[in-house]
Amino acid sequence: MNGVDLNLFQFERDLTFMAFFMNNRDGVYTRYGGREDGDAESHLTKTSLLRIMDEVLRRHEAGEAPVEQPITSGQPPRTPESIPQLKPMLARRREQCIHCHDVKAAELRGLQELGTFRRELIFTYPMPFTLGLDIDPDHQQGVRSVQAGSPAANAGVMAGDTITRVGDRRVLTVGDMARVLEQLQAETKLPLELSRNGEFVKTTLTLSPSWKQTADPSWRPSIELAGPNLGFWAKQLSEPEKQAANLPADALALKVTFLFPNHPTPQEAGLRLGDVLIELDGRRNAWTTRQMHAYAQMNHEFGDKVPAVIQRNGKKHNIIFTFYKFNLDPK
Amino acid sequence: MTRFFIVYISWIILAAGLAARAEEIAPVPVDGKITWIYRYEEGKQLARRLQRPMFVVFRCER
Repeated sequence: MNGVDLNLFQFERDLTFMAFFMNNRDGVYTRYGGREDGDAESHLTKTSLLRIMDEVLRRHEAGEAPVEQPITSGQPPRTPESIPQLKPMLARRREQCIHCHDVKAAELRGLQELGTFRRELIFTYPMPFTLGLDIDPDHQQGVRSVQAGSPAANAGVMAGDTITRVGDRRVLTVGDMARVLEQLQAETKLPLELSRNGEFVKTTLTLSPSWKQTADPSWRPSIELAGPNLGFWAKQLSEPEKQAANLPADALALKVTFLFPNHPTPQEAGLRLGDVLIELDGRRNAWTTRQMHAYAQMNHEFGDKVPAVIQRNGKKHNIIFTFYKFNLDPK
Repeated sequence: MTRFFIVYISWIILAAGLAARAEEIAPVPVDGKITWIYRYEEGKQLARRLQRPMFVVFRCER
């Protein structure tokens, strides 16, 4: 992101891929990119990319105006280098490439310094699945299914519908939808325009205060800003390994492979390499390491003491993790 | 795709063995078909000249 105009290119900084189709005056025809919690490539397909390229070319040649006009005209670019919180992060690294997620982390750090940070702020650029919409990855206006009881279901959206407008904006992709959703407040009404069997349908979604939050934010690098981590990396035991350790197949079983140097949380708990974490805070969810950290980051504060159970040499031991502040970045 | 003017903004990460800064990256042909351009303003000028839309990509290699 070195030198990139952050006002011109606003997108989900936790992503590892994002694309814009633009005209030569900074206008955006459409966005391409975005992911669901469990799959980084959930909506990146060759079919959809080619379809969008054709669609954008057609619209460009027809002289259609972009749906997003630059909001920066006449203003000097705002670059990552201008964010004060980035400088100490970069100073601790050998390489000076600014990652997309660095920008988000630095901006969130700025909010922390101001005392206005809230955990919910990591849930940026909500994807349509947060509304209960399962969008076809190949045809990104097409509704594949609708989750029962969701805002989309309550508004009467149906499988097979084609979404043409979200809010006041024409949409072609989930990236477009996420852009509209990003700009919405919590607890609001969202107009939606659909095509159903060739008929025009208009409806309105009612969104709850916490609609932007998703079940598994562990993929987001920015989650490191949300709260404490446990200070170690671990590998999930395979099913045969769990069986050999007399653990159920769906149980938590994380074998410690790396202790963060000088991190007091695992040190004070007496955690060792090779220990297997089988319970944390009374939970035995079959988490990955990232999901384990995410649980702590989203549900605990620095200073909290959390009970855990580990297995060492076939025997169970109770330990206590005390959550200390420890800066994970940068490598 | 060949009708597109393509701008590619990529920030190569040290872990990949390349510590090049963005402004030092030269346009690179991909499969002999696509030349990615790493400078947005340069891409915009070319898009103006060719009257083509731009495909601007941000990709992170971690």
